[in-house]
Amino acid sequence: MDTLLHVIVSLISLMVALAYGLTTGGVVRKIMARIQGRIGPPVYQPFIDLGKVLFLRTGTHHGVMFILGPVFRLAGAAGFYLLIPVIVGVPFLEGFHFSGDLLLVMYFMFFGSLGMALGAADGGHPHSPIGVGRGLAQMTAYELPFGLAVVAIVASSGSFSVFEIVEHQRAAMLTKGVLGWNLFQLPFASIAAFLALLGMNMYPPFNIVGAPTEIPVGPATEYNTAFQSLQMSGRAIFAIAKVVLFMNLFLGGAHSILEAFIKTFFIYMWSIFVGAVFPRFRPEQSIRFFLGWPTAAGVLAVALILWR
Amino acid sequence: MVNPILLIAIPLAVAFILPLLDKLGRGVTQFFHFATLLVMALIALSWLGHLQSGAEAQLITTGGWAAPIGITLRVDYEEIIFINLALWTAMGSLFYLKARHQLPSVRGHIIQILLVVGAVGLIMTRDLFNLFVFLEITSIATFALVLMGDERPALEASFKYMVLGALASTFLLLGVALIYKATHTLYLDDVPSLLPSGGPLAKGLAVALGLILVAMVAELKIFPLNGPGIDLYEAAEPGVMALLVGTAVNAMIFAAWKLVQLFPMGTMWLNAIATLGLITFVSANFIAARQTNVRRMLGYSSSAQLGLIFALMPFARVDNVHLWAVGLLVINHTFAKVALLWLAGLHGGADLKDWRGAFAQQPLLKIIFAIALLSITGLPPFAGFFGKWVALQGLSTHNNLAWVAPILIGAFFELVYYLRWYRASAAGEDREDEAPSALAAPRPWSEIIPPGVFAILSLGLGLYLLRHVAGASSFSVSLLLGAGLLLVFIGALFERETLGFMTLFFVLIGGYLYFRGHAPALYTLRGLFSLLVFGGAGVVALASLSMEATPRFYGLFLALLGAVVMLLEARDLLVVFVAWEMMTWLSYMIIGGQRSGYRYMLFSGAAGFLLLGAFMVALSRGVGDIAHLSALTGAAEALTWGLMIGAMLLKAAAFGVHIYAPDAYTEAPDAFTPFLSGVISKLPIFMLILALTALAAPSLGPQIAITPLIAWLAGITAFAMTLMAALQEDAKRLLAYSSIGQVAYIIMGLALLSPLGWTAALYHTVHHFAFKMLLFLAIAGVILRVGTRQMYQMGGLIKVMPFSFISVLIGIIAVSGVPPLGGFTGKWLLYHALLEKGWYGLLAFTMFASLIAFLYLYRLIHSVFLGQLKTRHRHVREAPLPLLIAQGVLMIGLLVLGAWPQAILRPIQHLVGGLLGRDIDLIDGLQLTVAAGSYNPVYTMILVMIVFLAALGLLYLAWPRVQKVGQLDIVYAGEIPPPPEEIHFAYDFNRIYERAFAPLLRDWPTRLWAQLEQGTQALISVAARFYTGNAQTYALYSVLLLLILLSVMGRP
Repeated sequence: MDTLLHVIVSLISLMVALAYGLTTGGVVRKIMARIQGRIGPPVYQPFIDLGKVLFLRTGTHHGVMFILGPVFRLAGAAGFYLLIPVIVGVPFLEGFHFSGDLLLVMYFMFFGSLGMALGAADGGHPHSPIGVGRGLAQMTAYELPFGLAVVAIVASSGSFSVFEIVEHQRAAMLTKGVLGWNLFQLPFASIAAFLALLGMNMYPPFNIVGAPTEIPVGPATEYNTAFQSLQMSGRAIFAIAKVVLFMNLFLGGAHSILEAFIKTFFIYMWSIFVGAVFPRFRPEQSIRFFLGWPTAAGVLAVALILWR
Repeated sequence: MVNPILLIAIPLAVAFILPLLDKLGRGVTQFFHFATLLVMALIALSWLGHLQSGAEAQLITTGGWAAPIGITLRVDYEEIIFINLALWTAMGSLFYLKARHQLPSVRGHIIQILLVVGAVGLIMTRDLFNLFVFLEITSIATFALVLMGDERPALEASFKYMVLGALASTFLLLGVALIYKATHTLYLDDVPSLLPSGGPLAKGLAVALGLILVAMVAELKIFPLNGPGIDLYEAAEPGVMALLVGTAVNAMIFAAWKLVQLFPMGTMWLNAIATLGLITFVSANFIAARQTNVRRMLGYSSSAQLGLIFALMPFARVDNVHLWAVGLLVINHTFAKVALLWLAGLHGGADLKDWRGAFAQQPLLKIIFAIALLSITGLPPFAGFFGKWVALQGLSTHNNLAWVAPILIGAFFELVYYLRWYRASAAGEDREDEAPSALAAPRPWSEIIPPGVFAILSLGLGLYLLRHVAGASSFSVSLLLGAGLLLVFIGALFERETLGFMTLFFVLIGGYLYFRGHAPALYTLRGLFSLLVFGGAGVVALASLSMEATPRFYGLFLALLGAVVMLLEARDLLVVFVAWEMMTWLSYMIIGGQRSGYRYMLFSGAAGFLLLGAFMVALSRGVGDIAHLSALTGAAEALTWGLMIGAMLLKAAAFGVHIYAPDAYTEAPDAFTPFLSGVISKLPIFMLILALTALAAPSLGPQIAITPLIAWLAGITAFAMTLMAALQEDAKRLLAYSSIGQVAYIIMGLALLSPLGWTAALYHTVHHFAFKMLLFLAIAGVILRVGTRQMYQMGGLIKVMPFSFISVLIGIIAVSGVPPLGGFTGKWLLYHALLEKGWYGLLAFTMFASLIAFLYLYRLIHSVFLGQLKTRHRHVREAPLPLLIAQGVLMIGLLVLGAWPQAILRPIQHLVGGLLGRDIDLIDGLQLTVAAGSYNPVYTMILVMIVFLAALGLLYLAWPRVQKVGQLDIVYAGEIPPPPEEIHFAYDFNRIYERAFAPLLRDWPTRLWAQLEQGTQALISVAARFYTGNAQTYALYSVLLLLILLSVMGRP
């Protein structure tokens, strides 16, 4: 019975994440529009878009891998989300985190992207592999500071388990309050990880994958109709899963759903605020950026742990 | 019993009546010449039989006079072996020279017979003056033979040789006279005991010994008097030199061995002999490494071999072991060098460049050439190797370890130049359009048989010794080696498919026989590795049914498998080394002798010598079993481990020394690369485990401070290789770099020296075996169908080769570590092991390195299978069925390993517990648990399945009227898309990374090695100036040598 309940709650949680992700997408578009002096689309516009592509009358595909790409994307995002505890301490909202620790989460992140990249390339459009190549290059680059930050966190908490990492922060919060968060306990790791997050979210200046006007839609150029809807849903969930993970790693997790909403929203907006004021990097500039200061901060974080 | 004096009398008589017989026709002369040699050989063989059946050595006093007055001859094992060698060479030469029309006159026949008389006499005599006489006969016959060629260079070389020979004779005669003055006897067996040890005569004796030593140095072509001999090799006809090597040179070696007995024990004289010999061995080999003239190279080689033999003589007086060494070296040198000289003459090319593709159209000659080369370089199982091993072992166990290093260095350079020769002969072989110097016309049998017989004799002796040494190996080893050898010779008679089935059959039988005796295989280290070996061999044999491979491949592959199994079974250091080296050179033979194979063998050879050094250190402390290495202590322990680990890092292609491996993997036959990467690359790991087990088990003491360095080296290797892989256009080369990088993770796990680290390492060993074989096989199928290795020339092949696509997809997911496949388990284990050890920096670095893998993995699958299908590939077929079955087996293995890694982890953790003496238990029901985390592969697999199927279901629910469109029906901004060739984005795929990492990609290791090579070459050309080619200089050297010797030895 518990298992069934767990599955149902998780499913609802997933739906909420999807809705939250889509809504946040709408909010972002609104904010961007206002910064640029436009009125912008309504906040619910992503829902309309999703519905539209879902019910288009005709569509095209290029083969089996092409079809499976968006399936990988959505499955990857959903699996990724379900592997992360959303609210540590509330059993049904801890997802299926017992399947594995942070390493599993980190590697599962690539499941959807890899599948999507394969599917996109099967479409045969040259922009797809160009975008994928950029994405891969940028991904490996920002994973270096992020990996260093994770190592610092794991070394200080003594565990790869997300659950334990949150508990570790909570224990510190008993004496230090908010300062017990890893965000303050491990400042250099936080700098490295939050800079890496900019790359992960791919807002400017790191939007080199789907670079508008350059390679207009990037990898997903050939996708349409239901494929596109799966991919959009996957992206929305994925974006939320990432900020939930960051909340757990750096902001001491959440005790309630409201707290989770607030914390994740602010983490999300960090990328938007940066993105709103910067133009786009060239691909190799982006890579060099991540291998520069963010990596230095990460190295410093690990060095400090070793020194202690 | 036949009187051995006939061995001298008969040929002498025939030589005198030969001019008369010649009047009856040249045929009669030739018949009598041959008959004489045959009769002599029969006499010599009958004596061998007598001695074998327990007869005593015999002394023959000529004319009935007793020792001091009459001349005494002796016949014992040594003499008979040397005489046999001389006679067989002479018989072979007769055939060979006749076939090549190099015996135009009766004088040639007479001189040859006289040469044999001189050699036999030199071997048998026990009288000092008589020794001088036979030496003169031999020398004169030598000059005459060389002069028969009547070419100008031969004339000049012969003259120089004669000048020095005359000088040597004079020195010898003076020395003998002085000895006679001191002892009043010329009988060799009496002289040593009668030599004065003090007083004025002792001073004179020093002069006598000095003179004799210089004479020996000159006659044996020892440094510094080896110039004329080497010049002679360059100028004279190789066929003539072959005859000389078997007769005159061997006889002089024997004479030198007798003369060495004159030098009193425990004096500096013996040190001087050993030192001169060793200098010769090292310097001649060193200089030979740069020679481009094949004949001159062989001259240096002969000088070096004689140097080694000469160096061992003083030791042989103390220890019988060295006598064996000398014997084996002489026999091997005779067989191999004579065969090579015959082949050199047969081919006729003097410069290495002329040897391009030399025997491309003569498979039999190619085999003979290869056997002779392997034999002369002293690789096991040939007699030369056992000679060297016995010598080194003798030196090590008698506290002469310092002599071992120069011998190893000299032997390395020996390997270098013979490999260069082989490389020259193999160059351009695969291209039919260019093999200008190839021996096109078939040669007459009378030219092929002599070198063939000598090569077979060499091989036969080697196999006999191998059987003797590795007798304890299982029948499976003998079966595989025997079948392999047989197929090498007769493989060309069968169809490719037949050969493939035979190979598969022998692999299965060999495996069955092997495992019949080893029940719980997985739970022991050897069991685990032998499963990989036979599994890999089975898969490759299956795949080879449909692959294009040369007939030679199948035999060599079976023999290689035999060697690998032998390595896994071996306990004794000698057997371990023999198996290791055989594994190395058999791989080399399969890879081929071109640049890639050359480098592979060069670095592997260096690794082999390091390993040999390690074993010698162990033997010097009385440890002869690989399981007892832990008994070593102190400096010996550190040295053994250092050398062994160095050797294995070299063989595993750690960063800095990796430059040979990618080429070798790429250029190896497509059927073999999977085995090379999946199995052969794991053997250094096996040896490292053996080495580290003994080190780690007793205590984790201070001697392992080096392991963090090894771990970091492994990390850098993994990073650099992954980065390089991302930048390759060639699919095999990409996987080659990947393979080296992946093996580095295994080494990192081992360097952690913790149960978790070792579990990670062994797990990754098994896993890498499966996925890398799968990838190489899938790519081999693609290459087979598409005909190119360049990925950008492919594209869109998923449409025509869907099964191969799935193989590669499973393969890359396994490599990348994306759950739910087993690659993730491997990474999870390794990262936790690093965390547990507290190596945080390395942990982060490794995570980064392993992520870069996505760059090449995606590039591989995209460039080959996705994107636009080229027009010319529209009708390409799926890879052949055997290849697909082989992939299917591996794929199932990978899927099982993904969902249930416990299947392999349970035995591995049991195994690791036994090896390290510390138990580890990470299996907790369905879950894997370590201190800092957990992973549940079953749940993960289920979760992935559910979300994947759910997403697929969603797609089905929302499935609109979607139709499939053509590959060029893409959103192309209103334009008509250009042809597929122009819009398949694949060339230089990771250019962004290349730009970002440009400073790191200058490939300085390759340039460093190139500079080292240039520096060595320059050094050699400076050293080679010592040999001016001027007779006066050489004469001066001999006088200087005498003066130096006397000034050193003259003192008490």
